[in-house]
Amino acid sequence: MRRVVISGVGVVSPVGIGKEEFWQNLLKGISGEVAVENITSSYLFKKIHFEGVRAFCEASDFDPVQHYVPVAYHNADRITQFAFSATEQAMRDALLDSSSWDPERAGISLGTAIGGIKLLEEEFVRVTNQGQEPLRDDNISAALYSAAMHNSIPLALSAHYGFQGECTILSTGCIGGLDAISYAYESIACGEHDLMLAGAAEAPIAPITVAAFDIINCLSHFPEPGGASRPFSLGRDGFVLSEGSGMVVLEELEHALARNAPIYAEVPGYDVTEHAMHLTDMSPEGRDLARAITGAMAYSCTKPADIHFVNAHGTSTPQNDYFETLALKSSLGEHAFMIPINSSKSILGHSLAASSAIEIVGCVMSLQAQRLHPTINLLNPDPECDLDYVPQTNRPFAFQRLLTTASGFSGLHAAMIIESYGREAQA
Amino acid sequence: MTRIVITGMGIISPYGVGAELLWENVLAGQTALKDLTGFETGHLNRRIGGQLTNFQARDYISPRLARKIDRFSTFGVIASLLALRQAGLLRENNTAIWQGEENGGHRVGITVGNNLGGWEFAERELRNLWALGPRDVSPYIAAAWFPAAAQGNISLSFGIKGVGRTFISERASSALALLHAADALTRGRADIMLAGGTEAPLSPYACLFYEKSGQLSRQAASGSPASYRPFDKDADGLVVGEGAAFFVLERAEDAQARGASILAELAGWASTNDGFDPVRAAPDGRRYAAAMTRAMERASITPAEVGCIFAAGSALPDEDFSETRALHLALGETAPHVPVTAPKAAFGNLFGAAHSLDLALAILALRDGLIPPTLNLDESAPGCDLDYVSQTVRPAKKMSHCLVNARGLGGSNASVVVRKA
Repeated sequence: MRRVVISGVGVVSPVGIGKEEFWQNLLKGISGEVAVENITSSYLFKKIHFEGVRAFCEASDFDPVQHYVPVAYHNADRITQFAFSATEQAMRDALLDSSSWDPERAGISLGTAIGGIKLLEEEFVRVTNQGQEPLRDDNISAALYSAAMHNSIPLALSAHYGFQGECTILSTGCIGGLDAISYAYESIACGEHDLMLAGAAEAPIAPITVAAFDIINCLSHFPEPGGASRPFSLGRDGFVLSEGSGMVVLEELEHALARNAPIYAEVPGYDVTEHAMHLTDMSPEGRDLARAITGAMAYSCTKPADIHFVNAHGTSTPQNDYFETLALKSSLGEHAFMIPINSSKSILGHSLAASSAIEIVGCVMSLQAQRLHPTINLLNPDPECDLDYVPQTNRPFAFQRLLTTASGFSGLHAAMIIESYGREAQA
Repeated sequence: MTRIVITGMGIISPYGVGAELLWENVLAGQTALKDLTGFETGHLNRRIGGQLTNFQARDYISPRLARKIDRFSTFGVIASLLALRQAGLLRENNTAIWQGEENGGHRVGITVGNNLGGWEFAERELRNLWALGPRDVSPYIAAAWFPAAAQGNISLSFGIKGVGRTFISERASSALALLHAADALTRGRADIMLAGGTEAPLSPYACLFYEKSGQLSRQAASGSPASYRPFDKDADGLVVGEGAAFFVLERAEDAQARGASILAELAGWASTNDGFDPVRAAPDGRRYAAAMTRAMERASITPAEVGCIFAAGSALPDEDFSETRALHLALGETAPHVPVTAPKAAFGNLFGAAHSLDLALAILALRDGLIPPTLNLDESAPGCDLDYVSQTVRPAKKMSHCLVNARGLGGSNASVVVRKA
């Protein structure tokens, strides 16, 4: 197996666009939540009332012109713009210019769960008079198909950058970002590509998405935005829907060294599992998540004591945070009690497929800074969630290796290990 | 090098349920394209498609499950059931032989190709949401709508607990799913992989998506079942169909050890992307040809050993032309002598399941030594100068390999070499 490193990152998030702003706000623990009446990305929320759901995490500051979206995509769907912005950031961050890589050995894997739902719902509402009338083709948007066909996003990226390796969407719901990055990792490790752009994008803040998750009690009904996403806390009552994109440049080690690329971290292994128990619940005791964690350790020849820190999935749903805690205890044993664990979703909310990719960007920043961002809104810990979740304030932390996890509908779990790349090994 | 074999396949096509039904109809030159029925089509200009009618999900799965999931998941679950049964991996009660065993299913994986997800279900709930309100939305929507739903339902139905991934790469989706299944076996990440594609886009909104894609034949507005004409001079786009095809893949030594009957060998595979335009495929066909060349190299065969090519055959004139060009590049001097066919003209383009249906036909073609025809190919378009198998079936007794191609929007290319068992 060839060694694979992360040589560039890009991020669009509710607390910052660009890695520096994003990381500083994560450290400060500034919640990205806004009240439903302050959502600016879709007018549909002015036309419908959700009983209970108050908080959303919106990338309100996003501006395609300012945030590196190519001119041809200034009127494109929000999700495509997010992906472009994060990708351009990552390409620049990795110091990739067109002379330093072979387009035939460069590919893209992107995760998204929902794609261009915003446009699809807005057009549906318009041409059916809010669902009252049959569909008609009343000058319906020519972009309808590209919004419905998720691979239109990586195809646009591939065409723009001239990537001629594989180009695909990994549609694995809420593990999508981690899954797309692990897919790219393995493809490079096995010699299929030398360079891949991988990550995820999601712009799911649309009434149908809210309804779909709220009807099964997944969303928080906490009345005060800023306090709704509270992973591992007593009384947590669901996740906060969010949006954004996280992209990384993954590169074969020798390829990165040859072009003197900045190397953030190395990926030594991952695993994905399914629990086959229920479409929208987790398996009892989080045992299949534990199996993914154990698998990722086996893949990367590490043992529990080698894991110094965990960036958890930590959604703030009653079930996830409890089962995830159990899974960490069963896979890491006593060691789980000795290491810090945080949840980025306490700050960023849950942007479905994008969240695990954005979190990987956060993990990389954390490894660089040797500092952990806090899990916010954790004033009253759930007694059944009894690990060290880095509550409320960030902390310095010297470490070399971390574990990041994700779980999602369709019974999916993913775990990846990321470690610092030893510069001394070069000498 | 690890050899990968196919030990089971399950098919749902516009003709009905089962591989033999598909095969008989395609060989007979029977079209499955007809007027769309059963849903509102007043807003559409193209009202024909490869629609599966007279289909009862409850003949195969419980009515309770059928109500909770979208048609594309239903197709996926049933096609998987048939594939697992043929592979001898099901008990009499339709559970998989590993279900209930300790660590059962941990080394079994699933990869799915799909394009649009469950829009029949999602559209109904969109209407409920806006006409009635948020509390009138089905609690099953999140598990029915997303493209990963089929994968999840198949995993749940058969206790599949290993790697699970859903690929969206337009008309190449199911090819990428198959490629990754083969890779997962080669890399030792799984012992048994179920791989295929499923698509059920014949509902009011999803049909409008396709109409807006610019890929549908304009002739289809006339209602003619002969509208889908790959490589023909009157080609002007495709006609959409629905269905699913799934395959059981194993390493050859594992399949032999358990005494499984082998349908075919997956001898080579590769994927590339044009990286040229977000919508149009590159006119030079160079990257498409590279996928075929790499697939043949992996299979250690020369172009002369390719008995037949199942083309992507979108019937979009630019794509037919560049596909022909790509075949010339990949096959070189042999190109004029290799039969090329696009049987999907008879039953429609299944997008996320398109390549899987072609793979099934290729396996049957190798078994019987018969190349299925491309319907509606009366006269080749200028620049389309290969040996297309048009109108009627052609015998090919000594055929040992088929090349099965896929190509989606913007030139997402994949190619697979299937070797006769």
